[in-house]
Amino acid sequence: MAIDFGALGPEIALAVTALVVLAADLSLRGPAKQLVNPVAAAGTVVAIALTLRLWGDERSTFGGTFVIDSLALTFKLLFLGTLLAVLGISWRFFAEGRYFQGEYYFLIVTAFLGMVLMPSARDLLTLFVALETVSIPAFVMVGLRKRDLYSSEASLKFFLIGVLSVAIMLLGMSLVYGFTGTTSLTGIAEAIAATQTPGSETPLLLAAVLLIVVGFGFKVSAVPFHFWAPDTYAGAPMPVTAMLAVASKAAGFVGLTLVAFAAFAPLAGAWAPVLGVVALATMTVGNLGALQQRDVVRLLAYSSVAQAGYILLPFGVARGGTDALSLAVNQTAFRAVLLYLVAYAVMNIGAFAVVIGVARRSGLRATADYAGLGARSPLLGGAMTVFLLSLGGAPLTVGLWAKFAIVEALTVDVTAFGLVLAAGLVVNSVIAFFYYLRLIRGIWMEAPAEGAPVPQPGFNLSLVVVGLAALTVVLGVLPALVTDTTSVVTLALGR
Amino acid sequence: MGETIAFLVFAGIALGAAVAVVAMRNLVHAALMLVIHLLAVAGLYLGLESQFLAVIQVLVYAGAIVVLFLFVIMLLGVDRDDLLVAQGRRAVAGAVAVGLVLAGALTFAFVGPYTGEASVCGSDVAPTGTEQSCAGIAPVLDADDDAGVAFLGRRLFTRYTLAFELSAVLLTVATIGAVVLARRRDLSPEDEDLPTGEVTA
Amino acid sequence: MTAIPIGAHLILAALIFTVGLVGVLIRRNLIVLFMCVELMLNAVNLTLVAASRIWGAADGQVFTFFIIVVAAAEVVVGLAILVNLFFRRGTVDVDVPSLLRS
Repeated sequence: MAIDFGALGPEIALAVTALVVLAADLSLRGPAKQLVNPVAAAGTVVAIALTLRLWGDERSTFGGTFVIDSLALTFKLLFLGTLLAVLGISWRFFAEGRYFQGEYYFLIVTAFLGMVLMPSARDLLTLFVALETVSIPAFVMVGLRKRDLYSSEASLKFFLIGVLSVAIMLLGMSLVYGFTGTTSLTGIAEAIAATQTPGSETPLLLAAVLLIVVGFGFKVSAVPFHFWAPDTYAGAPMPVTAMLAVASKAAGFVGLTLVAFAAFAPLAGAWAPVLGVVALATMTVGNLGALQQRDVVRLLAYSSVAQAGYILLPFGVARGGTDALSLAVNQTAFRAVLLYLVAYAVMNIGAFAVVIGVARRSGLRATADYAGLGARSPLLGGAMTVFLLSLGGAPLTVGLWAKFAIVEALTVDVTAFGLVLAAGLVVNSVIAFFYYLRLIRGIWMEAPAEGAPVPQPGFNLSLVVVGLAALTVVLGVLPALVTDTTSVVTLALGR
Repeated sequence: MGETIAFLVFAGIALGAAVAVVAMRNLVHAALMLVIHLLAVAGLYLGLESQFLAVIQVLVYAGAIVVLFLFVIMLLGVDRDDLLVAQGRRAVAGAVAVGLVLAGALTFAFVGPYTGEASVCGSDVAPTGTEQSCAGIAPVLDADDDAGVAFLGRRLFTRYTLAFELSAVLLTVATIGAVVLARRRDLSPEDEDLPTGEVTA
Repeated sequence: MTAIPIGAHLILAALIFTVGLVGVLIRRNLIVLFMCVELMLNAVNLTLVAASRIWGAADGQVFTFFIIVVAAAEVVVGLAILVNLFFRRGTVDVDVPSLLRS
């Protein structure tokens, strides 16, 4: 068996980067330690270049467990772009906060190594190991603020939930293997299609599928498994929070997409309604929770729970059949998920970057501290306005087109359930606008508190904030830039 | 007949020791019960024709993981759990009810398709209806004559090579994570982080 | 040849998984919680090895191999978090039901 090392380029680049970062951290002393950040960023750029070189290829290696196709490459680019942005917002934060910097950069690069691998994995085993490569560094990173009891407890909570969810997911995977005799995603789909008749599936198989879905539900913080998210997000160092809220969640959605659409597509009649109801509950609970928050990080945490609900919506209308209409429904649903994840990454990392910029040197993170931010720092205030409007789905931002794609996916074939889901999306968007606009009103209309400091975000963070804000608006005005790219991404999944 | 007795003995020990882990008040005793449980499961692996995994189970689980548990128990000096259970009788009853439902549902699903004559591994009885026959690993083992190591290794180092390499990264992460988190000599304390914690409502 | 149908192993694994899950739900000592998670993973392993025998293929055994490795990594990180937490607040007790609420 020949290994296609070219197809593994991005992964190899990231693995080498992680080791170089570790070695550089050993040899650097004192303030020079922060130089591991540009080293990690350089490695990421190399990985991006290697990914772009593969663009358009269809390759597979390791007996079909590792696949390069348009889906895998698009998600790889999304994750690597996210890594660059997270590195940008991490530099000052970790250099000034007296953390274990080198170890942090090693852990974040390995976590992204797992993420970059996930969209290429076409086997339950590879998927599981990649998912754990995302989770285990994240457990450690959440607890990096060691002297803070609150951070330690957040990390413990995250760990317990993560380990439990993995155990439950593994039970489902073992039952699926016992049932089908294979761990390959396409093999499972074939075995299910060969042995099951729609409408009278074996209950044990359905239970196993639901266990796996529950496991991924924890990862994407879907209701009723969302309880860990606000506390973990609030307790973790803020760049780690941005990573968890965006990249780790996107990885969960990639895994869910793969198992749902590749392995268990024939059983969509069973899992799609469940995920639809979960999506409705998730966005409602997230938005209602966000309304009551006075800490911006917790507000964004609940908001990201709600956003996970939006992204879950298209799964609710997935079809199990193989006729043209069902395939079109699934394809549109998948494209909406992809588009929303791209938009979500741009606007949510931007929002967290502003929060980090405001909190720098002052530690201010209450919503009240954002009063008059527009007057104190037009850059941060303006950028935060753009990001919040986009998260709400306002015109001229990418958020609108992301929501539009979801509505489109829900109404490809008009069904009562699809309309209920779409109505839920509209109602929730209105609720969400209420708390986003409240924060924006504070930024521009209210006078700053007496002696409120002028935020000094620093160069890298400003660069990331400006870049992401520009991207939010540019993609909002010219959505074709991203829709044209994603339209070539198909849900073929090696079939 | 011998294998039936072996299964019943190991299954009884494994289940009993698992219950003991949950019920023991003394943490050291619980850890030792965990060892017994893991050894009994290793015995079950032997019965399932998976000799290599049985050895790995003893070496890694019983030999390394439980020792780690014992080490932490000794390090922290917390060998007694006086509270035993987290909450009142009603919550315990609820948890047990959840467990009974799960176990009952799974058992109900297994009885029938997997417990008939045809599900005895290597039997010649043809499966009927939903019954699942059991191919067994004996033919492969007879051909290989190395306790299934080649059988496992061929799969591990072709199809799953990437996962194998990734697990090396994973173990490095675990090592570094443990060093970072458990290190007691911290970076100098005067360099406190930025003020943190929740904003009280 | 054994006369035990393969389902016996599967039922045993289901029972062990249940014992571990109940343990996680009712105990509050973190070290015991971690042990209970190990019980659950062991039950999964037993299921996989039994399934591997059903199909006469190695996939299930290889899966078990990886679960053992990942479990080892998880335990190392979990115990490190626990040790750190113990030095901060002097106890290893948690209330899982309250952890599971926000």
